[in-house]
Amino acid sequence: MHISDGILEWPTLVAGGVGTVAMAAYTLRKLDLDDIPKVSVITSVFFVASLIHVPIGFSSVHLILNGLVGVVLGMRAFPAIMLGIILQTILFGHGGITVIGVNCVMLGGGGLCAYAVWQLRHRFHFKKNEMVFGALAGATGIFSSGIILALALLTTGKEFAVVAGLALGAHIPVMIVEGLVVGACAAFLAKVKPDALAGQRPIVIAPTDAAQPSTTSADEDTPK
Amino acid sequence: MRAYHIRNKAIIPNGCRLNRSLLIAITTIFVLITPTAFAHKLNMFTYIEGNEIFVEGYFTDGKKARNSEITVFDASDSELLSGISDNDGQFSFAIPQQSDMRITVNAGMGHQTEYTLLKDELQDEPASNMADAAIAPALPAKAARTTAQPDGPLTPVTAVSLDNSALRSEVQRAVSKAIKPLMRELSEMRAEKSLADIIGGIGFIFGLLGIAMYFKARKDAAAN
Repeated sequence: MHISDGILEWPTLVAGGVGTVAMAAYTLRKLDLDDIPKVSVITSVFFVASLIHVPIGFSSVHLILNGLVGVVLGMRAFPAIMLGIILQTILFGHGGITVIGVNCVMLGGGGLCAYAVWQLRHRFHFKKNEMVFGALAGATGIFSSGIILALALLTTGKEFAVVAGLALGAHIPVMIVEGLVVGACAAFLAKVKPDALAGQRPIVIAPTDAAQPSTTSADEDTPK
Repeated sequence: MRAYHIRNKAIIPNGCRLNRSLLIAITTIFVLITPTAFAHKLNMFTYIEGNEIFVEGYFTDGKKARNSEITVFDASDSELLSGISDNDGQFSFAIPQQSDMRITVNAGMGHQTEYTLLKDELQDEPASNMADAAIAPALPAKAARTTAQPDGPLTPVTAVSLDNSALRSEVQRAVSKAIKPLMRELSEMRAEKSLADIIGGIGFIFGLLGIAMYFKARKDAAAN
């Protein structure tokens, strides 16, 4: 799900660029030193995920995993997805240089929406709610990106309205696959290494966390 | 919330069997999805045959870009002609003008690619006739030299007797037919991503975030 060069008009491209800079500036403030290794691993996963194809019937879809990035990195998902998209554009030719801003808002925004859904799990207490909310977050990541894609295509003219509607329909298989993958990953991480997930209260409060309680725990624990 | 984590912790000792089954599930998902093809990037292949230009759009997973909108622009970006590709993703049209042309293939949902066909690639007839005139005196002489040397009595009659322009177009047709599969393979190879790109991209991610970590650490150390 990348928009190519030469489709969007320049106002949309500029809006995408401005949106990306604003969101990156806001989310990068939440980047702590301890998070960086985790961010780099998840960025690598996101970077490679779009090369993995899932055959569905006569067609095939590829993973996007922006929901997984949201579930694991929380607000840091945006800079991670942005870096992944920039490298995908430069190295693989996905999308295009001028559309990087719009693509970042589309997939990064989806990642943030996935995080918002993921945080809702604190409201519900039932068995395996990580799996359920992980799956929901994975599907939400694709769904919200699909809506942003549709909106971006709608700006190009009326004849795209039909195509934009199709865009959402075409991504239904991706939503299902991503839901399964992210749900499985979230449930697995919750068992093996729960503190690797975003918005999880740390079990052992480290001295560094105690020094800045407002930035680490308060911001993450409140659902968006 | 505390109870939530206690529950999580309590599961871990006897949850090993569950962990293993989850691990198997995730592995199965990743084995089932075949990472053979690469992402849905739209590529195009353009070639000239006689007085026609053929355009073919295809995705990197091998799917043809059927029912795609193909538009041809001239050097000043005004539309010359447009059409819809057939079920094999192909579209052909007579050469509309003897100058640079930009051909775009739009497969919908933000997939678009373009190719600029340079004037040099078009075999314009008037120019080639002029070239013929320049080559014509040289050609028989050359033919005479090369054919005369092995067996003296052979005269260059055959080369001279053939109509020059007919020979030329015949050779052109034969060559363009022979190199067509090569051209296709070349454009497909250019579109494909190598493992080096993937590893390189992951290296970029770790490197860039490593630099970020270094500066963050220095800043944190200076603040303390």
